[in-house]
Amino acid sequence: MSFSLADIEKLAPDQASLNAASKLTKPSKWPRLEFDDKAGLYWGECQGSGSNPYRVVIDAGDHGYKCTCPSRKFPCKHAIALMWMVAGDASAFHPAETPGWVSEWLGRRRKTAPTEGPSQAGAPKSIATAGRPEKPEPAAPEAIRQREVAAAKRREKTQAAIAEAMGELDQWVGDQLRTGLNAFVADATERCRRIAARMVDLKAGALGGRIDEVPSRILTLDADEKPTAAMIELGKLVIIAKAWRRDPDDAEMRRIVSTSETRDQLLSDPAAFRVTSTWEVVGEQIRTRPDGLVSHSTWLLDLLSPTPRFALLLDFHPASTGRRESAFADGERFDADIVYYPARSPMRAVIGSRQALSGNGENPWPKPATDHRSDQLRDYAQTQATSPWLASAPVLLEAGSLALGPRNRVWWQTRNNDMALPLANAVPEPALGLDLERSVGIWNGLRLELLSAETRVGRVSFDD
Amino acid sequence: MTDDHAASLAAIESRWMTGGSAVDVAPPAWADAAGPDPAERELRLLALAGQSAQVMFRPKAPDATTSRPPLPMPGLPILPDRARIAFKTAMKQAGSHMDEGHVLALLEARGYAAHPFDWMPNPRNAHLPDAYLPLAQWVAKGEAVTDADAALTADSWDEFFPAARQSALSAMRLSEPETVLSLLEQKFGGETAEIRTSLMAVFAINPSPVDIPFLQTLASDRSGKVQAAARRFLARLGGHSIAPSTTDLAHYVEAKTSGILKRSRSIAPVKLKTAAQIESRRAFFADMTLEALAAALEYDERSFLDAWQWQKDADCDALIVELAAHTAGDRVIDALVTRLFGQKTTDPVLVALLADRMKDDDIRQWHRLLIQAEPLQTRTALDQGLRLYGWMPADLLLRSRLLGDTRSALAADNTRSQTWIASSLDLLGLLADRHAATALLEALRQDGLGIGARETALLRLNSLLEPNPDSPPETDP
Repeated sequence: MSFSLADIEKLAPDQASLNAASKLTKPSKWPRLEFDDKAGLYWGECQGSGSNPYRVVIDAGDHGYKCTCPSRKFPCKHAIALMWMVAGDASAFHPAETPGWVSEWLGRRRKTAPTEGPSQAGAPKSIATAGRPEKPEPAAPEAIRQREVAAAKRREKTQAAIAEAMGELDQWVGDQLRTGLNAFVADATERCRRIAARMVDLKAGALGGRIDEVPSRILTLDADEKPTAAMIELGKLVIIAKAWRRDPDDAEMRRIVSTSETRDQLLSDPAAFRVTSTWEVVGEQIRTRPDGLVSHSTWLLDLLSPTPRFALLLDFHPASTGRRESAFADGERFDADIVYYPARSPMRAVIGSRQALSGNGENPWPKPATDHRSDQLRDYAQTQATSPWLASAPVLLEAGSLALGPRNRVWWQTRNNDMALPLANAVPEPALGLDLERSVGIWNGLRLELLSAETRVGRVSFDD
Repeated sequence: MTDDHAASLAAIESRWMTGGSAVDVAPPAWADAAGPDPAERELRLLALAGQSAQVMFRPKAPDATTSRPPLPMPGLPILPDRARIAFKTAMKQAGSHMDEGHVLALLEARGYAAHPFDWMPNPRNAHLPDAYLPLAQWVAKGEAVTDADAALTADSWDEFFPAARQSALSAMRLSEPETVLSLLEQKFGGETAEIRTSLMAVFAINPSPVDIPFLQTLASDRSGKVQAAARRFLARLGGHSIAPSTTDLAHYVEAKTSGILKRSRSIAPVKLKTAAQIESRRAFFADMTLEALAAALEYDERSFLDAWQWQKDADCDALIVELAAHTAGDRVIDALVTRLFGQKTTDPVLVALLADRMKDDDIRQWHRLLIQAEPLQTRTALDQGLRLYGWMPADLLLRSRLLGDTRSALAADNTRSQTWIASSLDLLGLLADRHAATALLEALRQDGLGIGARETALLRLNSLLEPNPDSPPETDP
């Protein structure tokens, strides 16, 4: 079996995907195009906006496909474009041995016939019209009104369920105080799992996910710190419940409690806070959550801002799909239009558009708002004052160094030793002999996760 | 956080640890803020206390923190950031099929050292490049060498870790060989067999007849490796010459006379039939010097090599070349190299055995042979060591058999193993000069090996290594 254009039309999720794919069908967009004739496999690397190309493989036998891009559309435009090239002119593909990542995919996948892509509201999909400007559908006022009424009813129902969830949460937190934080710490995993499941049932899925992660944050601490950590975590839940009740339609609270805006909604929001600047990737955090999702956080630092400004690119994918290739190299700098999700302390964001670096890329990191003689966590305290529901926040620290304490714990400390922050992460041995001229980390009130630092041996990363 | 504040927070936390209300131990302002509603006030107090603990708490470092001394800089400028990812990938790739020392040697040839976060030396490695000695000292003793001119003496011997000691001895061997000999006489016996074997390399620098008495004592060292090395150096210095038994010798080599009018003499290997015989021959040659072998057949070393019938038995040829490499003087080596290169078909694997004794021009000649050789010989080259790195221009490499075979293997031919392809691409990456590396990457890209392919990591690293202006200029091949 191979691909025909009709097959591709059927598989494509919508016309927009076909349109987008049509722009990727030039071999120049693909630094690597290869195939294994015997296995009926075609694969390639598509140079997207990131420094790392997306890896795409398709199986001509059963029309299976896989792409490392984060698209929620299946197949994505990259997979469609690869199929299209195979169907059109496969001469651009070079014969090759199946690479390891393709073999891994073959080993993991279940052989099922791919389903035909859904057709949005009956909209036809056509390869022939792909690439042409899309005509807007004629508005149907009655249909729109009905949809709006239905959406309002759904929203009302959801809010009622969440209100119930917040009530149950308050009750649960009160119970933990009555039975004691020691008992909570000892049984945190089970207790949190139960209330998290209840939150999910009552439409507060995002909050459920957060509660599910509480034990992992508490249980890694020293015994004498655990009750304090429990107090902080439970206090945050009270704050979230109260803030949500004050304004259930608040976009930030809705994101923390139930669901997030889509990327498209955010990009089309003219009121969204945008920053066009030169950014540096200052660190990555990859965590497997108890619910089986992997959260992939990429922290960016605005190099043109006079005071520290961060952006967090957050992505989730199922742990079962394995580790994803990062789209960015640590330390990479680029120009981009960053669009922030609405928040009191804008942090989470998406990239609106990305360009190659326009300057020489040698801008230094901005100076912390405070110098080392005063409180280095003042910016952090300010962020917490504005957004007390945040579990942690990025900090840019002035000159310091690392020292070893009891139990081999590493401490970041200022040069005059007037402040010391215990580290959550291990650091390479050479870091213990370096002055850190500036450091970026994530502080949660008890531990600092050091991400990167500027030193006399250049910029170093701690999240490898 | 004030002391009062901390005390209040501790009291609240203490109450909640075992369970119960903490409102009565809260500061009045907090209790007021919590409000009168019994259902609400505990939760409000929790929010206040939790937030206060998170924001106002400042951890204090324990009294017993220890700081490491400042990390010293390596002896060469650190690799530029833009080449670090390629370096890490190349080291990871190298680990699977070759000595990672090759990658470090390429860096050194361009005037750079690895970033300490990407690679740190193991101080027990006696063969470390000098550039990493300060770092190795820091790892070994937790402190950098503060006195760069610290002298190696019998008293300070134990303060030097093996690589630093080796480096100091090598340097002293050029300026004060008597001191080195005296140090070795005092300290050699106290070291482990591994270190004693490493120390033997010092005798290759500036060899002198003064070494003979001490080397003679080492010829009966408790380590077989040290004994063998001592005998080799003695032979090079003319201080060890045990004549082999002519009866035994007759099992392995035979002298022939040919020609009717013009009689000429030659020496040929005896054809052996079994693996056991070949092994016995190897053992027989291991205890010999070239000079002794030649003398037993009434030749001097050079005339023996002239009379030897090359290319009759590859294994025996290798034994003769190894014997020369280990026991012959420099003039004999030069003559042998000239002879090998003068053959119609020179076996680069045979030349590789002389790599440690050859001059740079001869090394380059050997590399030229290597890239046109049988594919399997690349493996041997990588095992042996290349001595010179990153020097070969694009015109030589682009028309080489090595590249041609690699491209064929990449395109369609599955007869070559992935390990062979990786070794070949790495050999290309180690030999090429920077422009050649760029040209090779482009050629391979046209074959479908993407710019990010792991297999080309070493070539990519090479192409990014602009020669450091502070390092000595590359010699013109």
